[in-house]
Amino acid sequence: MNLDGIMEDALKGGPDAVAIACADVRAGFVLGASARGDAERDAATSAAACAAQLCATPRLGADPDCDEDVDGTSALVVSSSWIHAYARVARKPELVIVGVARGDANVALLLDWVKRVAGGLEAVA
Amino acid sequence: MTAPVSSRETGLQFAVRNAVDVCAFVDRLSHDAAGEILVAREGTLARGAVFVEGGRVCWAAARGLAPRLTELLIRSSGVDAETMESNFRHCKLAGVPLGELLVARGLVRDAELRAALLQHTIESMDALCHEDASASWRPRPGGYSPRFTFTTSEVLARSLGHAHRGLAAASDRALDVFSNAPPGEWGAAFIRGGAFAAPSPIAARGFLPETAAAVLRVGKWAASALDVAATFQSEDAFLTAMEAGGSSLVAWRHDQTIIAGRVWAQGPARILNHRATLRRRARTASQD
Repeated sequence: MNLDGIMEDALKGGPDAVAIACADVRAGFVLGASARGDAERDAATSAAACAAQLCATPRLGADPDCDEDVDGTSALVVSSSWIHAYARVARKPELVIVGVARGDANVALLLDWVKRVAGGLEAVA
Repeated sequence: MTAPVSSRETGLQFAVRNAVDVCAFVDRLSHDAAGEILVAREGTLARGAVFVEGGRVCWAAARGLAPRLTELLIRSSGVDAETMESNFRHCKLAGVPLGELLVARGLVRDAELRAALLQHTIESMDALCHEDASASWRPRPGGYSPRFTFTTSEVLARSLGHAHRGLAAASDRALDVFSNAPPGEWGAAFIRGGAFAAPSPIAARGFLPETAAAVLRVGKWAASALDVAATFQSEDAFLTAMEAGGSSLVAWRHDQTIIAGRVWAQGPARILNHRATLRRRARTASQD
């Protein structure tokens, strides 16, 4: 599977997106990325490398000593400079897509786009 | 994993340095357990006790603080000291809780009693907990009205907030976003460092989970996720992680605290708007 090619195609349809990457959170590798420039590519790969921690939430059950995490479906990191949106590929939960946009972009549109890319990847992965 | 403490276990000694220790013990009790945590210091006789039933804290009593509850009730309800004393005498003879009698007689409102009991419990626990304090569990029959008892999450946030009043007050504005939250949503301000190994809540709003353990887990998640996000984003970033059931965990830094909580689908957008409004106000204020 040519993930760089898939990311490149996806970026063309991204609303205000400047970069996109796909990470295997179990193996800890960034499998593919596409960006408008080198700085944006770095921003996407750095963010993708943190996907395992950011796309996980604590299991809040009855056992007070449980210290396990569970897979989150998506995540957002938003500041005035950058927006990073994450979405997990449902049937391949080890794969997480991260999209990057400038801080003034529309957060909801970016997240929706990243989720669509993750959904599309499900069909080919 | 620690096995739940059954109602039959007695004599177990454990440290009670702060409210975190008390709440952790209560969270591990089996749900049908009722009894008291007897607190002693340096091997002396009990200095007081924390009464527990059904995984909830009913109230705490510490030596020297016995008149405090009536003080708090007189202040909040406006009942005069003489009426309070006659009701107190009646309770002693009848063996019924004073607060519940005052509510039954219409002298104190539910909310006033609840607030006074919680404040009294917090102050008593503050007096009981200490670096060299230890405690043991003694089962005894229950019978407290659940509406006047408290979850460990509520007790923990109020206790630590009592000890860090300045920081708790400073987090008020950030927590406003959880004030009119729908059922299931909550948020808390956490501090880290000092006496606490893990991020600890000092103020909370909304519908807290039952256990202090769940609140502490979210605080730990928030601190760790914000540290990770800070490696590629600015320090003031807002973070949200969506869970499979449609809820989201949220986290951001506010002055010296971390704000974290759990919200439904519209929660992250509401918080982003709230943060933008606060930022605009701060900018306007600095220009004036």
